[in-house]
Amino acid sequence: MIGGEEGCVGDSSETVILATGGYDHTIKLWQAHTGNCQRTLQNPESQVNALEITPDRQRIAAAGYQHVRIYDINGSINTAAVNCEGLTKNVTSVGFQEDGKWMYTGGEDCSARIWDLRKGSMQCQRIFQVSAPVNCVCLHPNQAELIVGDQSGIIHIWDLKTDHNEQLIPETDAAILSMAVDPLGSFLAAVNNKGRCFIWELGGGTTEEPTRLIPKHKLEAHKRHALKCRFSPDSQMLVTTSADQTAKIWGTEKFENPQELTCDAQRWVWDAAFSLDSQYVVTASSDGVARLWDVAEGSIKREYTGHQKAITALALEDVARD
Amino acid sequence: MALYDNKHWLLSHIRHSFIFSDESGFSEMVMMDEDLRVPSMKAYPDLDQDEEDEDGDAPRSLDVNCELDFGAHRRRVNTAQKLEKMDLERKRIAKMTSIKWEDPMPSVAEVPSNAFERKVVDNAKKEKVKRTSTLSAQLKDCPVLLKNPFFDYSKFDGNAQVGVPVKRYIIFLTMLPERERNYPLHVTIVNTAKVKELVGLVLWKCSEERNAQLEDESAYALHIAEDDGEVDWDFPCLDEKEVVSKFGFNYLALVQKTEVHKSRAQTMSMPLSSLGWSALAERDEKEIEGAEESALQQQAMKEAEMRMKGHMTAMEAPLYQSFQVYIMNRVRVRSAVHLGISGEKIEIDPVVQHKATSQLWGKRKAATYDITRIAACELVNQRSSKSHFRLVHQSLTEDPTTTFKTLEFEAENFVAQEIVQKINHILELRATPVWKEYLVTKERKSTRRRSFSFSLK
Repeated sequence: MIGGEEGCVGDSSETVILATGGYDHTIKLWQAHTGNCQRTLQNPESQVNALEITPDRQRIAAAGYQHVRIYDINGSINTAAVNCEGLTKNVTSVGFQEDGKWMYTGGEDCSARIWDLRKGSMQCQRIFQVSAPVNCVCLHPNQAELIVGDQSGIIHIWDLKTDHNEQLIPETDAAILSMAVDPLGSFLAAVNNKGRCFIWELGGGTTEEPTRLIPKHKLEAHKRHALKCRFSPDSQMLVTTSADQTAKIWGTEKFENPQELTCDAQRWVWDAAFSLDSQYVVTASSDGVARLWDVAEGSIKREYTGHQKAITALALEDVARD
Repeated sequence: MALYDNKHWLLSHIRHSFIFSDESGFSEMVMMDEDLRVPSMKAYPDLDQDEEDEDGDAPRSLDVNCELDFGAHRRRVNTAQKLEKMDLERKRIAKMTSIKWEDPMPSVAEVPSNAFERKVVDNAKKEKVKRTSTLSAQLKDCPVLLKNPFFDYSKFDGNAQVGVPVKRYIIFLTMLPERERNYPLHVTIVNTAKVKELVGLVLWKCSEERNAQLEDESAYALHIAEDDGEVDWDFPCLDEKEVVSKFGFNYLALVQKTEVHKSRAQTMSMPLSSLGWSALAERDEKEIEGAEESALQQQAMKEAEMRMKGHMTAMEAPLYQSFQVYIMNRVRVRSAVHLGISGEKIEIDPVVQHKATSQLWGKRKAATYDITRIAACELVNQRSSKSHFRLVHQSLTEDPTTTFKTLEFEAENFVAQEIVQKINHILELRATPVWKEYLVTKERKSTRRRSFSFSLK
């Protein structure tokens, strides 16, 4: 098979896309089932804080220092196609509206922004200011509410249409590091720097009313900072990652007795993502290695090595098999 | 030429030239009272800011160059580099669209309703929809992938990294079948890697891209090659433990290690009996084997060193070196001369003597002999401390038949040996027709002598 390094991905709409990025100023695209690195994209002068694949699967956005760069996944150009600038300090999270109409970012400049991606249009541009650096932003599946978590421990729910916002504080003075809403809109999970994970049940959200949050669980998930949380595509599981060198997988029925994904070499686990059928989880660690784990067994199936420094962001887009 | 219009510049130039070239100091005294006002930069609209002298007192003279020029010279070089970098950056950015954040206009209160319309999320659809994943299917299809044994070397690949100094090589793979040998491998490796790791990286790339059957990395070595793929066997293989940044060669060849490599690197295992140790008891044999191995190792190292030295002297031969020797006159009086030998010519410079006698007998002129006229150099006889050696050269006569003339020299033993070796190296390297002719004549003479001696019988 001719290919290996520096080959180009054809049409990415049917291929599984796995991307990792970190402190070595590169973003690597992997062939997930073999472990081979297919392409290395350059992200000069900045580390990668977050990675997100566009809904049309053609591009990938990398949030870095004072910018968000968007790369073409297809083709062979290894530099960014679009550079979104005008920001100060690190951009900590990035995401897209499901039809690709707009992009949202959150950053250390204490703001969350909506970027209108339609050519020549500025209608969707919005900005939401809070009083502390924003660590994470996630979009409710209803595409109309943006949930913003900041360094002071406050979670804001911003209604994009009415501009109304609500606040809640699960734990005072504990920075919110990551949040996730499951695809069915039934739960909100948030993890903080004390290693705790909070679960709320979500009510409403379909009508014009703001979503209601009903506190459900408070989990002592990890012994150290919890860095990331994400729900599985079928909403059955939640993965939390931590500085305690583990990733834990919780069932969303009871949120107890988590499956632990750990190995000796793994250091801080910065990010994790599920395969479409929730059988596999890929983790990204600061030892520069991304790993594919079998969820049921808790064992490593593939390793993705090649990064020279810590990997701090991961993006996985699986393809459904009909 | 524009400068000659400028009054200020002209005056300054004249002033400095007078002061500079006038040794009496008069002009300086005369001009001391004239106060040359330093013109403002407005008078020089065309000059770049860079050329502005920081120090207003710096001489604006063509003759007087201040030491700052040295720094200024280097500043130019840096500027050229910076310009190149900026050019590349510009090209890179040109391909990239830039979107600058614009704060939303307050007038955009009429947000079109479809932008942030809520989507109805069917919460009730909590049936466990089991989605099939392509990833899972692919993982099942290739269960256990044989990890490439050279995989660990892939981290030295320079292509995978940004901002790290790298070295690029073109590697010819001699162990591949004939057809594939002409297609060299392009390898980029980080500067800090060792030759051993370069070998590993080459093997990894080879196995990934060409599916070759390869052995363990210790079975291969790298040699310097020509740009057409021919291996330069004169030089030994690159030392495994050396860092690649030391070598400047761009073309290398990967060869399979042969006996020659192994004998250089490792101990030579010789049967004990051949060294006459057979009389010893068994338990001593092991001890001695150990000691002998280290002795053999040392010997092997010494031989390798000698070979290296041989290489070095051959390479150094064309470099100019001067010796102090004595040239023998026809009258058997020696006079000291400097014998300068280089790859181009041999010079004989008489050392100036103040003794009257040697001046009388040993008066010689300086002479230069082009290498193309030198035929041979050989040791004639060797005494306890001094040796005689002879330099044969072709005389410049119009006679079509070439005649050879000799010059005899005397020097210390080791000096004579060095000179003879050096000249012979140069002659071998140059392979001039005169040298070859002389060899042929010598052969003929020796065969004639032999035949003559036979005929006497």
